Amino acid sequence: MSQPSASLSGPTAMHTIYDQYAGMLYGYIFEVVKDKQLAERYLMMVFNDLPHQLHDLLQPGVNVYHKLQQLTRKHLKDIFGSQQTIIDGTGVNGHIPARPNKFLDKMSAEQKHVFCNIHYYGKSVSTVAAEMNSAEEEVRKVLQQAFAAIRRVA
Amino acid sequence: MNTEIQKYIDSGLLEAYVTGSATPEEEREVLFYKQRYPEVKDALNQLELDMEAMAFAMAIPPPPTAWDRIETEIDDIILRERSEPTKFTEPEPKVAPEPDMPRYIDVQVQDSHMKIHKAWRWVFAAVFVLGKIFLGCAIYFYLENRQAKQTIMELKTEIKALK
Repeated sequence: MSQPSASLSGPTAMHTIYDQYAGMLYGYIFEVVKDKQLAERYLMMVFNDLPHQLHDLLQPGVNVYHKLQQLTRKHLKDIFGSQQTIIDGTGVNGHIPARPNKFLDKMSAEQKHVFCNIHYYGKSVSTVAAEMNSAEEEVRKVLQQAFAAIRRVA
Repeated sequence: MNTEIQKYIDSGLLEAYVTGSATPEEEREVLFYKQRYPEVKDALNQLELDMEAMAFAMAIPPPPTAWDRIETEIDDIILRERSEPTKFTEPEPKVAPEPDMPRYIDVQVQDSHMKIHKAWRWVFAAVFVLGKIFLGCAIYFYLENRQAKQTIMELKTEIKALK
């Protein structure tokens, strides 16, 4: 995806970023909060905060989506803190996706568990490792395998 | 490729960084490696693209009114920031005016009206009165002139009749 240019003025850059990434962020937030109105509210919070981050965001070599996601995760901190991991029948997969997710479908139960707890529940590697009663290195390895699954689909 | 660097890339720390689940210490370490080793930078870029590709596939179009509301909110924020009062700083002491100089305060006002010293009202009054006098004179001499012209015409007619 083409990155917004650093030469764009504030309002134009904001609009370009919104056009390119709002849908992606909205999809992610919705998957976390599972409520469209609440997701819209968080999306607005992220974009209202954007003018302060615009300079850093438009620097060459910066992945705009990654920065936006970092910002979104900051805003979702309260939600992450209040979420309860749902344990299904297998006791491994803690996340029930709000919509069909072809990326999660390609992951093993363990990979899905680690990835979802980190990505959709905002947990740190150490927390997930403690919950799984395993070493952090192992959790990171599983996370890496989850990314390999994403890459296969993408 | 350096085996140590490959080991670092394969450790899963980069994935933890990209998902925001790394500790601040690990984040600093990743950024250091990213700056130092192009292999780490490339691996990190690829992971960011993987996340972006996933988000792109799972995107939901936001409600059509969302942008208008965001724009209004941002405009409000910008206006609020512009109208924030500036911090008060003690003005530098002004040099006292010379005793024989008139004591005027140099004030810049925003309205379109002009204020002048009271002494000017006598000047304006004098100009007004003089204006009236000149107008009176002009009317008087105009009428006198017309009267004189009329008399001359009558005299000319009488002379012609006598001839």
